Amino acid sequence: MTAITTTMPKTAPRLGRIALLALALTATVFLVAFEQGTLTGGLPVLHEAFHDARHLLGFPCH
Amino acid sequence: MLTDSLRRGLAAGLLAGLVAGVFALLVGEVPLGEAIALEEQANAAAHESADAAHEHDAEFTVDRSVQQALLPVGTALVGAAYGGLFGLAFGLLAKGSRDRWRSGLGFGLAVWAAAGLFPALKYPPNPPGVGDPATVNARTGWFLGALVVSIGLALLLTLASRKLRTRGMDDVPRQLAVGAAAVVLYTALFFALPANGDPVEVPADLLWDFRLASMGTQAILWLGLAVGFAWLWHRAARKAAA
Repeated sequence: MTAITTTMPKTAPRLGRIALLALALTATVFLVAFEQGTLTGGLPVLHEAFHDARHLLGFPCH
Repeated sequence: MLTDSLRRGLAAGLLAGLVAGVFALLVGEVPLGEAIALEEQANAAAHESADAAHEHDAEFTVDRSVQQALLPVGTALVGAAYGGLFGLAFGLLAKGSRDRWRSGLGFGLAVWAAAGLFPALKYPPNPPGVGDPATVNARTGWFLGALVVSIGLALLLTLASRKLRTRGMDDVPRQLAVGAAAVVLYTALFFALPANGDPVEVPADLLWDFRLASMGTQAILWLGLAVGFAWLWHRAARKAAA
């Protein structure tokens, strides 16, 4: 088997942009998987909407 | 490298999340629906005898069909977000790797074990109807804690292994040492974390079916992400070589 090598461009994106992106991605996980209604005025809108996904992805629910 | 890695992670994660969502719809919805039916029976019985009937009216509810329709949407969103973080982490950690097909698969397997399997073994997923609403914040906190510490340990072990390699340690003793350290540390972490004390009052076979479906959904998401991601790197390398 031959190893295939990858050449990469040298343009690295700035650290700030990476941090911002990582934050946005983490926020997405938080909203779908963990948010319990604090952001929606106490009503568990996201909890109920993503109810089945939360259960089947193994996040704590109820 | 980092942008490419991020892009490939997002794409592979989105796709893996969709596939996991289809699996969850076909397989996971069966025990989930049974658990909800049992929960409703128990609620109805409780309401007949108690004067808590008004309590339920104030609750916010989403129609079951909407919850089901949003199941693949949720898994796809989580998949894409995990994929993006996965791609960023791979881009930062595996800068020097030459065979990205292999390193992508290895990385994906490790991430699945640390971020998917370990928290799920410590705090096994439960169907609806299990879990005291009063403890949900504590349970969420411990679950998040298990996830974060597990990922932190994996990172620490990776960096330690690298350090030993740069010091010239041979592969086999190095991998044995790091592997043994991983077993000891993860076992210690497993027993150091408090158990979920909520009573589980659903039939054992229903619980097993649900947990199997949930673990399957997660495995499809993580391992699908790993395979898709590694394959996208492989394809790019092949194109670049041609």
